[in-house]
Amino acid sequence: MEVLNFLETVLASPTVSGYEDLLLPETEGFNKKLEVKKDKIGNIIFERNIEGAKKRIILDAHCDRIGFKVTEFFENGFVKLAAVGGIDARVLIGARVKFIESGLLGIFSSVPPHLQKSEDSDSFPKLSDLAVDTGFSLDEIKDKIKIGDTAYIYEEPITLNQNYICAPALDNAAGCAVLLDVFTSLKLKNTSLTLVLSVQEEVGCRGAKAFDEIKNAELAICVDTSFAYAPGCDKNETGELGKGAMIGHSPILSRELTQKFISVANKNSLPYQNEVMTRSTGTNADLLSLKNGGLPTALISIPIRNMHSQSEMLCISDLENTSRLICEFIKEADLNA
Amino acid sequence: MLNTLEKLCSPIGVSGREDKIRDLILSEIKPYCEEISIDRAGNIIAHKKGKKPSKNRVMLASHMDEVGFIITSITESGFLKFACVGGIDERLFLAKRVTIQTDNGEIFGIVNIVPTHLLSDKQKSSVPSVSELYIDIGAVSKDEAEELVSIGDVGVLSGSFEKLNTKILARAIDDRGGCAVLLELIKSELLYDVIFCFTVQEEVGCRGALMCAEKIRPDIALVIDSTTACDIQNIPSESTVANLSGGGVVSFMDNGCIYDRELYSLIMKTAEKNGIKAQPKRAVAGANDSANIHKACGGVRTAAISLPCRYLHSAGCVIEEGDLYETYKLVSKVLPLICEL
Repeated sequence: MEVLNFLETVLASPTVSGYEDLLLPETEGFNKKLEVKKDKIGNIIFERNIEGAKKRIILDAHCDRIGFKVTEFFENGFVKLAAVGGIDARVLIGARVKFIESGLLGIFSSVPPHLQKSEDSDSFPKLSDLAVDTGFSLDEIKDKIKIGDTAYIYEEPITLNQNYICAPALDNAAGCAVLLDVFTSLKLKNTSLTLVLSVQEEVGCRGAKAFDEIKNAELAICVDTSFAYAPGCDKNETGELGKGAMIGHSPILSRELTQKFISVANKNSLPYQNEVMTRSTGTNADLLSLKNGGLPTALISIPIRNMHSQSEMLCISDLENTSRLICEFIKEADLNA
Repeated sequence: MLNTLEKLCSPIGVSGREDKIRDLILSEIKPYCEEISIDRAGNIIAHKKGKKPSKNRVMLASHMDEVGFIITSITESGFLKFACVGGIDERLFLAKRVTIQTDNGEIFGIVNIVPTHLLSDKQKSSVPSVSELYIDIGAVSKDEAEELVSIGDVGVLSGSFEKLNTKILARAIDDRGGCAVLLELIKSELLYDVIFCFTVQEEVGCRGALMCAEKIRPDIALVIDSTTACDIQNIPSESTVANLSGGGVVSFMDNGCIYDRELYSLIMKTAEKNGIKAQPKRAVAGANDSANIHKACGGVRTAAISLPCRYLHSAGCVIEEGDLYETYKLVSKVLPLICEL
């Protein structure tokens, strides 16, 4: 299945915000006929231009992930890190880390239970109290890692019970995989497509803010991940794994597009869920919808559990159904062009 | 010993379910021991002949079991509730990968976490206890989950065996590290007859050691375990307890045992005399099989030498490869002296 191949490829590139160019060499494998370019902030942009096309649709998925930057070394050679994006400090104790530039592996250190003060076990250490043990001394590590180097939480992806994939950075490798699948599989007559794998979403949607290759596009579809229920969550605030794409409703999104997506889902008997937000969405859709005096934008999200942890989890059928939903939407738009 | 250690760290052997690690150890020691018995709890007692009989009945012990968790119930939606077996920092579980030992082999699971985006500030900083956490194996119903796991199945936090410079990163160093040292001794030529024990259920009360000591009735026991090295960032040198690259950690007292003073001195002097690295354990903390051995059958003179280990009881323990060898060297020098004492 194509979308799973794309997912595997994107997951394998540790594209921490600012390091999204790691994905570029991989994109050459996607489809040799595609034109790929990078704008000045680093957004990776593909275009399929159809001669005489009546409309253009922009597809956006952020291709960056949260991670860390090296800020300091401790006397014993342990490495101090700062967050790139919304790191959840609760998941860091005992987490393994890889450094991009040096390829070194390390582990977040922790104080053992019988040496903790009683108040220690009542709270999680902040990232600023933590450090990564690489097994090297200070002199040795300074030869291998520089201040400013980039790191990420390292776990190999796994499949659970055949239907679920578990890995860090499904936010937003899942969105990229879906749009790459859509972009490379559609055959259109009247619609040009721009696919932008945008950068630095995790640090404030900066890639989307900078992106200016709108080219009179009629609408934008932003694909990201959103929250799926797991025990402890409020069922009213989350979607569910396996129930299909989460179609976003929000004052800042195009109501017409939202309703159109719902109608396409129904017409094609595709499962979907409603995700209702009261103001901005916290995704690139917030920025895209401001372009060119107002670009109608839809937000389609893939439900995942455990967001911003090393055990993000999605349902494979949700990937397939989201890809199909977007394909059917664009095919219908293309017919009506 | 590195290859041996890597092999030993692979099988899951949570307290009370040591079958797989026991099978592995048995296969390793069979060619080298004259008499091997397995008691009803699963302890391995192996008699190894040296060149001559020993004046003192000497027992060496390392425990086969590791800390982990046990599945306590399955929810209607197919999530698993669990509890710790042995002392684990409960904060280690959030969003981590686990490996569960089922009747049909090992499967992965993950521990779910409510994302911070959905929590209030107060909730964000509170530490959920393990009783509030759930393991997710990708089952959508109780029925589906019950096809994959059973209540009472055990598991561990997952972590592969890696090298970090000259250090080793692995699960279950406590106490597969001790077992590796014992295996190295068993495979070597010894001067005196010695009894080797690979004990069960240390992490839940040093229970295997009690059974072994009562059966063997040794004069002297030497426990090879793993202990806390807290030589991490922001810990002043006086609080590190033990340091990596400092050699085997020799205990004089912990929460379970006041160790035999003569044995303690003998070990430290032997290290010094032979240029072998060794360090005292600079805290009264923790316990090991000595706790139950030293007060068995009227009393057993007991000593403990441990591998210094960072992040004990986690899926990512870190030890220095050199300390493995220094500990082995120390024990092999001390062993004949203890036999002759």
